Order: sequence, then C-alpha cells, then structure tokens
Amino acid sequence: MLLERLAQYLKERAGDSSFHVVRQAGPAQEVTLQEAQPELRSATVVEGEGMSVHPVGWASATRFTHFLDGIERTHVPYYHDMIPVLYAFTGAVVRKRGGDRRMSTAEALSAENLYFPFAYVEPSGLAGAGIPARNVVDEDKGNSDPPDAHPVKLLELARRAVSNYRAELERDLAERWTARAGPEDWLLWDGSISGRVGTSTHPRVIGVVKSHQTQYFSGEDQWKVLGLAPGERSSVFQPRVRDWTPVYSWYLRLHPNDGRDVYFGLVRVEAAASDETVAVAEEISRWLLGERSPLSLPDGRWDRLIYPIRDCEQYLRSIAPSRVRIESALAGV
Amino acid sequence: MSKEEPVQVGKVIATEAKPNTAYSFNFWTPMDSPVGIGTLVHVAADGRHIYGVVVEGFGFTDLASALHDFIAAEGNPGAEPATLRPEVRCYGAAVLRVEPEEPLQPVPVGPVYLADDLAVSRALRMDSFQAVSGIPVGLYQNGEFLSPVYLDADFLLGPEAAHLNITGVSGLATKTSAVEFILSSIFAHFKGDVAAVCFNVKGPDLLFLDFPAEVPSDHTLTVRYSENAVPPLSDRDREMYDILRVPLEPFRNVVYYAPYKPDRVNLNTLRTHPDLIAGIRPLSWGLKEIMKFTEVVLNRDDVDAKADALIQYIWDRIIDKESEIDGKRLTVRNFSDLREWFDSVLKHMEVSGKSEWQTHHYATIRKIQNRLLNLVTRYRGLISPDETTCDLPWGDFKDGTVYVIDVANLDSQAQDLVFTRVVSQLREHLEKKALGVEHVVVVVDELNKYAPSDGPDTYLKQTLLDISERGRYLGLVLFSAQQFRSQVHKRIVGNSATCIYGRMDMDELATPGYQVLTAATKEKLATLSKGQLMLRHPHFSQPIFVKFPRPNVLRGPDGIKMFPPAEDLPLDEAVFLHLSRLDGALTRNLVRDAVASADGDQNEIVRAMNLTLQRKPDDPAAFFRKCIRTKAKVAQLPSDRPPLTTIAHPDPDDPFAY
Repeated sequence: MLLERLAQYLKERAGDSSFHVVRQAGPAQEVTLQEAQPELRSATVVEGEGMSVHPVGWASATRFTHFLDGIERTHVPYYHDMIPVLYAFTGAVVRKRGGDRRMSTAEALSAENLYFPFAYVEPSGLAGAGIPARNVVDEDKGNSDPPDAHPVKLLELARRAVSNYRAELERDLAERWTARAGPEDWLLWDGSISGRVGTSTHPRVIGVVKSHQTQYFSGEDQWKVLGLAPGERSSVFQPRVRDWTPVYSWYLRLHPNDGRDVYFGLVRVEAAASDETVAVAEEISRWLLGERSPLSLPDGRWDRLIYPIRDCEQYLRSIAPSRVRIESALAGV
Repeated sequence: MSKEEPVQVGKVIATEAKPNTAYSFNFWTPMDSPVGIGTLVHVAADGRHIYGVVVEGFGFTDLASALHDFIAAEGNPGAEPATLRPEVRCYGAAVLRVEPEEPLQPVPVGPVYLADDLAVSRALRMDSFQAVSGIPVGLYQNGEFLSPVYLDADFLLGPEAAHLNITGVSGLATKTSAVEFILSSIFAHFKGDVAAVCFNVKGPDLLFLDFPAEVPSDHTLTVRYSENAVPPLSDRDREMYDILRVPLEPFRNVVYYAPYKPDRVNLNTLRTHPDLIAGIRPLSWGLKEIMKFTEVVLNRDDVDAKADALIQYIWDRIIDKESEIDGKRLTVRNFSDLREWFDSVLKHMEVSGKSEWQTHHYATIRKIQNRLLNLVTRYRGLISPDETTCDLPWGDFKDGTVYVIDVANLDSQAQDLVFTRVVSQLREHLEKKALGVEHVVVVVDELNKYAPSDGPDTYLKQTLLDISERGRYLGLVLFSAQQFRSQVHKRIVGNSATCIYGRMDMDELATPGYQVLTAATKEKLATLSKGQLMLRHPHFSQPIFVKFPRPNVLRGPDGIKMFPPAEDLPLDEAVFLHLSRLDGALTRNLVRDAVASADGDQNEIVRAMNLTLQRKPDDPAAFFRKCIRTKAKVAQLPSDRPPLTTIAHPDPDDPFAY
C-alpha cells in the first residue's frame, strides 16, 4: 500500500521541479549490510587456558526448533531537492520446525517505510498522505547535527538506518519468542544475539554469525581459529563489546576448506554469557553440524548458511515487494 | 451430491516462465489436496468465474540440483536431513468456460475451488441442455463426491451432430461395457424413440444382454449364478446408477439373430444352450435380398462393366418377373429358379449358335452364372437357395429394443454382407420414415478391421463412411469401437461428435492424433482402470475423465459358463426346436414323422421348415408336413395309378428276386 500512496503523492506533485522521480529500479538491495569496515577487537577466552581446538565429534540430532532471520529490500523512488529518499521493506520472521521436520511460520514482522534526513526533507507532507517515514539520523543517540548534504553519504546513512530497523524487528521477534518459549524450544538466530538483555541471556537462544568482519584474535590464536578442521570448534571466549550485553562465543568449522578460502565453512556461534554455555558448547556444535543437511545451495553462502535460515530468507523474499512491483507502482508517476 | 460450500484447494499463480492465458492457468495446492489430473476446478476472482480441468501437474522443492542432495546426504540415500525441504504441487489447467464470456482475458490470480455439481454443470455447459436432452454418461469424481455428466442427445443421436467412437485396449471390458451402459442410459432418458442394432463380432460379448449381472436370492437362476461365481455389482455401482437415474436392470427387450450353420438347421452362434436357443431368430436371406449387394459378395475383379450390366439386367428384368426362353415361361424368385434360368439361356445360345443373348456375351453369362450360383455354397447358412427368408423386422422396429446380430462365427466376407445389407436397409427405411423408430444406433466393434485407415476401399467401409457423414440427418447413428483409433479411417472417427477413450496403449498415444493431449493426460490414459474413461463431446471444450458403473448385464464369458453352447442337433431335433417356437404343444413325434416323409431330402426339409417359420401358420406341424408332401408331389399322384405291388411268387433261382 505504501508504494501506491507514494505514487499518488508523487503524481500530485508532478509539476514540482524539486521532485526527481526514479521510475526504474536498480538491482534490489535485500541483504543485511556488511559492517562498514573490518576491524579488530579483543576477546577473553573463558574455557580452559588460552585458545585451543576442540573436536566436537559426530553431528547429532539437532534440537533447534525455531529459526530467526530478517531481510531488507530497498529502492530510491525519488530525490527531493536532490536529497535521496529511500523506500525500504524490512521484515523478520521466526520459522518453526515441526515434528515432521517441515518449516512453518511462527511469527513474522514486516514494515514499509521511507528513509531520509528529516533535517533536509520535511516529513509532514508524507505523513499527511499516510506514508510512514523514518529519520536516517538516530536522534535518540544524541545526533542532532544534520549530516552532510552529500547524496551518496545520505543514502549510505539511510541504508544503515534500514539495517538498524531490520535488526530492531529481529530483536523484537526474539524478545517475543523468549517470552513464549517452552522448555524444549531452542532458537537459532542468524546473526549476533547481543543487544537486548532478555534475548542475549536466554539459555536457549543461539546466534550464528556468518561474516567475519570483526576479528577477535591475532597471531597464533587466530591461526588456530582459521585452521579449524570440519567438526572442530575453538575455545569459548567472550568478545569485548562496548554497547551490547556480553555474550559467549566460539568458532566452528562446518565444512572442509581444503583448497578454499580460510573462512569457508567457518561460523561464529554466540550464546548467553554463562557457565552453562561452556558446558553445552560441544553439544550445540554437534547440532549445528547436524544442520548441514540439507545444503543451502544454490545460495552462494551455503558453506555458512544453514538451511532453516535460508528458509527464513525465502519466506521473507516471498512477501517482500518484487522489483517488478516497485517499478509497476511507480510507472504511472 | 456436492458439498454445500465450495472447498478452496489452491491459488492461481502466474510467473514469467508460466504465465496464465485466456485458455490455461496455473495454480498450486497443499500437498494433501485431492486435486489430480482431470480434476475440474473453479476460479472466482474479479467478478469472473473460470472453470477449468487439470491437464498437467508438477511437484518440486527448492533443490536446484540432484548433486546438492547427494552431497548433503554424503552419498547415503537413507540419511535423514534435519529439515525437509518445502514441496509444492503445481497444476496446469485448461479453461473449459469463462463467465462472462467477454472480454476474453487471461485468467486472473484468485482462489481455486473444487468444482461442485453446479460448477461441473456450468463448466461443461451442461446447464444449457441437461434438463432437455441430457443423457447421463458417467460421473465426474470430485474427492468423495460424484457429479453426473451428461451428453447432449442432439449431439449424440442427431440432428446437430451424432455418433460415438470408443478407443481402448482389449481385455478391460471398457469398450463393450461403456456402450452397454450408454445404451441403457439412452433408453432411459432419450425422449424420442430409439432402437439399437448391435453386431456381435467376437465371442459371446453381446449374447447375454437380457440377463442381469446379479439376481436376487430367490431367483430361479441364483444357484447357477453362484456356482459360476458371477461377480455381483458393487455398492458403488448401485450408487452410481442411482445418481445417474438409470434403471438398475438388464435390457428389457433384446432380440437375437444368427445365421444358420452350413447344415441350415443349427444356428451359428454361441447362444445355443437349450434354455436359450428358442430366443434366437435365424438370419437367412434369399436371392432378392442379396442381389443389390453383389458388389459386396463378388470378387471385384469379376464385376467388370459387362458383368455389372448383366447383373443389373437380371435384377431389373428377370427377378420376380416372368420371362420366356424358347417358349418356356420362367419366374425367378430364388437361386434354384435362377439356376434354371441360366441353364435355359445357355442352352438356347448353344442350340441356336448365338454368342450373345440380349447383348450379353456367352462368356459373361457363364461367368456370372458361376459366381452367383456359387454364393449359395459360399454363404451356406446365410444365403438360402429357396425364397424362404428370415430377416430383421423391417418396418416394425420397436422403441427401446436391442437387435443383436451374431456374426462372430462368419467369415469376413459374410460379415461384410450382413453389415452392408443391414445398414443399407436401416438407411432406406429411415429415409422413408418407415422403420418403426426414428433413431437407430448401430453398434460396431473392431472398426480397425472394418474401416481401416489404409487397405482396400470396400463396400462396407463406404457404408460406414456414409453413416458417419450423413446418418445424423436420418437418425442413423454409429457407435463404433476399436483398439487403435489411429488405424481407423479418419473421416469416420472425425465425424464422431462424441469420443470415449478407455485405457490406451502408449504406442497408440504416441501417434499424431493424440498430440493435443498433455503428457500427463496421456499418462493417465495409459493407466486408466476399469470403469474409467475420458470423454470428448462438442459441449466440452476439453476432455473430461468420468467413471461409469458396470452394466447390469451378464458378461459374455460368465454367460457362456452358465449357459454352455449345445452340440449341433440332428436334423429332426433341430427342426422340432425351431417349429416348437411357433407352437409350444408341438410333439417330437409329429415332426419326426413329417421329416421321415421327405425320404431324407434334407434341402426339402429345410425349405419346408423355413417356409413354416416364415408363414407362421396356426398349425405348424400340418403346414410343415404339407410343404414336404407338396414338393415331393406325393399328394399329386393320380388316384387311378396302379398301386405298387410286390411280386407274390418270386423265382427261387433268381438271385436278385425278392
């Protein structure tokens, strides 16, 4: 509906030279933005004496029952006074795996919004037309200064705001899940579980991080991490984070990387920062190894993307507006 | 029979790879949906109603390559993945009807429902004729529910269109059963009068149409049915009869005809059990009946222009007319008379030294004499040398009656003659509105054999072509069946407005005539079970799969087990059997005495028997005896002739004396 309202809104301003409409959509942006820059952070090993390699044994029957992931899909429909206005669909879903091993939706959240700096574009007109808008500058964090009026920079800010909003949706869903989860329920979350106390301290919420933009070890310890063989995990460690609730983490190699990149098949697992996590790291690792079948091919991230998470993405893609729909909605403008 | 609320079973989808058109659409269903190939569905969207039939099915998961599954399972097909991939069932449907019809647009995305009774009726356009001229042909199965499917009598029996053709492999009884059931339904529902003429071309297929498939426990035949393990109808069959409103009974009026065997007293049929033989009427034709069909029975090479002229001359000037040769007056009424006529003509030519007679050359006359007179020998049993004939009741056909002509034991030429003459007579009588009924259904099996797509252009093929192209105006309707439709003359199957397909052979389905069917429909056709068939009818824009109940008639093989054919009867016994049909009080001794009076002249006995059967006198025994005596001229002996005496005193030395 947002796209239709926006089309109408733009039609009504057809003669206004301050609006520059972009009718043809570029390639849809739908995945989570990578962290801006690779960075180094420190961490403390909380299992044993220093970083070491732990064979976890054979893959075992997994006990994960729920899976959480989110996506975003963006498009710039117009510029207002050369300030980019970004349309975004954001969605997150918890998919449940039933006793029949088939996936179904437990709960989903989605939203369509326009993103732009309120300092440059007055949102009231859009609000009057029933079009929700979000400021790309997070004023809650005290950023009251207007950003530079550089369209590319503003677009980057908008995309980061979209990504943050998508992460918020995921955290909302995770929080709801923890409130309702039964004693046998386990949630596997695509990404970091830190952020909210309720979820990051829950004993049965596990995160799987596929990207390795942040490196927590160096030297020999890093060599051990990158040299993990399939079915081996690193010692449990606690990443040093400034803003987020502390969590425990460990690396796990899901697939052999002989002849491939050092990160091939390598994931970082996150769980609540507790002794219990250290005790179950072995078992959870075996569950994750059990999740290797079925494979997520033909997805390019198949070495680290477990199938139920791909299933979450597939679900969200199916409800997100397609590029054709976006284009057709704006075609008459 | 349908649910009160339509059940949504799927949702229309349209992709770039598989777009919807005005004539086809795609939809998906849950895994446990009852939708399958042949299912009728109904789409209601955007104020439009689209009815379609499922013609293709696809099932797939998100697995892009078999290799991905192999790798994930590490080569172990028994490995259980942690998560099952989502599996979807997608179907392609062909549009049957769109309401409103204009503008004709691609099918919109919308909910898909199973078709209920009303939707089935609308989808197949049956709502326009069902109440007026609907002939129930079977049931469309919608999950657990059955919806009746009707044919339009105006398109089945004429005049809009006509004819029905059935194709299917042998051995599943679909072809014969379908014809039997449809005939029952026609008799029950057709508002005009109609009879059927069925040619039994193989075994005992159509010889027990007057017996039910099962009998009640207090019936006189109960033990016989039980001893021969005749399978009863199922409850499902009974339910189908009930829904289709077709009486659950065998054919009420069946008349059987069979030619004689060469002995001309025993009938050439398998229905010769003593309990049943009385119900069979002989089929026997004389010279006048077959002269018009000499093209059928004579070798083509023999009937050149000169021969044809002579035959025509005989037909026009000789038969049933008085002619004179050398002062001798002759009237040719049968083959015996014809023999005498030929002898007289040839003798006259030989004596007078003339090479021509009435412009016909001696050699031509000799040749035609040989060919025509030889017919009595070649078709002995079917063609009678005398003028006594037993024929179908031309002009007195009865509504709702099946006339079965058993030609199974005749050779192909004799079969050709029977087909051709019967059909020609039907056509002639229908043209004159003088048959007794307005419509006749002619049932012919093994059309591959009688009207092949290749092979010689026979008189019979021409007759069948003529029916299929012009019969609908006359009320002459062809119900034909064959194993391989592709091997039947195209104009015959092409003129069949209604086509039925039972289980088909894959080789047959690979022929060009089936290109319009989807691969899935062909697969389904190749695996149809008994009682299932695919139907094409002018009102149905796509083929429809229906079920029909087992006909409530005794199947041929069961009938033969219950009523095994009798051995050929001796002459006097056979004569008694035939004559006793005219008079139940007739005694064997009366007949034997009469037969004995013919001094062993079998031809004379047969002639007398046929004459008696034809005339149907009040006292058959007396008439029969009189016929024999008359022929033998016993009654004409002069009264003053000295009686034959024996020599009172023979010479004792004469060895030959007695």
